Amino acid sequence: MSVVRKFKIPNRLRAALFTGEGKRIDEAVADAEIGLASLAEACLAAVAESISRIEGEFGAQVAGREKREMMDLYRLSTSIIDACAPIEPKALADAARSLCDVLDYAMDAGRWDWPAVDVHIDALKLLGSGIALGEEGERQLIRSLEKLRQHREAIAG
Amino acid sequence: MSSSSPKPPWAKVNFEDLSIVAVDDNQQALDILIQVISGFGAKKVSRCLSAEEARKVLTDNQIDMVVTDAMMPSIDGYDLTRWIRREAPEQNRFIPVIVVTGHTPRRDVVKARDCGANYIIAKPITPKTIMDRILWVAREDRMGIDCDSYVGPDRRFRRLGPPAGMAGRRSGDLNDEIGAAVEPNMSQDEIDSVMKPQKVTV
Repeated sequence: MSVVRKFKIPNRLRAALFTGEGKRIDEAVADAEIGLASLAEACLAAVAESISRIEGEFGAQVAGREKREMMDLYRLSTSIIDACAPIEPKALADAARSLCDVLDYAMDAGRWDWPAVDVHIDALKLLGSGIALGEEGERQLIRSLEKLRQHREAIAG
Repeated sequence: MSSSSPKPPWAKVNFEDLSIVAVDDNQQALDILIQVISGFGAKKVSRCLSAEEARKVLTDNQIDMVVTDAMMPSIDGYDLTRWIRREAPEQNRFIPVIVVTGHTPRRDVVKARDCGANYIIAKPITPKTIMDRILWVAREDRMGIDCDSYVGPDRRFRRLGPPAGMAGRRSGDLNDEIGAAVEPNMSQDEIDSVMKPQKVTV
């Protein structure tokens, strides 16, 4: 039988963090937000590049795209999520995450779901184009992606 | 106010002397993470573009906290955490480990919990979320568990969601029976309800 040892973990972080000195919590968060905003331009460029690569390597017009690795598209999609921290619209990250869900399911099933991938690529292009959809428009778009995913998963059983 | 009580926003936090290791194979994601931690006032942040680099830093230095990406080639964030809990020098074996990840299907959240991570955070990160989780880790008095199948902070939990005093409880908090089903991405609230352990009588 396995022996379980249970013990108290010394909380070094607490001792170092709460010395009574340093920054106020709200000020520290505000400073971090300012720092994060300074990366916005670079992140916008990175998102644009990822979307362009996704379309160039996995778009409907690409011959032989089915031979490509799903994991490569998954990585490109997570790179969009990574870079979304300081930029708008936040729905970009949601759409990229939804594409990850589609790919996760496809990887388990062992086959591409091109209709779902194509719709997600279109959604990413639209959200990355700078066209203002408004909060409600973005919400509806993400909800539609979710419905599509559920529909495709139901069909696939 | 006791040291484990929630801190008001005007309470002070001192990141200056903390030694933090930030790990992500994506240069830009690492920049974002370090920008946030540095904004908090941290001066001693080791930037590592791989788990191998992080292991070296953790072997040679006393570290106070690790924030690592989950999905990395070769050694991922879960394996790095497992290594910290089992093979890192004693001084670093039970330091807080926060895993950040772009995609959070439930099986990955469970993986993070079972490798010994303290919390998992869904990207895109926000300064507030990172700060909240650091404060949670700093406040909690979780026991350590060491057995054949698991080394790390006590991971038992119930339907309780984030710590008392914190916003974010959902009426539909997760059950403690976690299977290996493929499910859609989890929200940060859902992740927190899986990752926050509670002591139970055994």
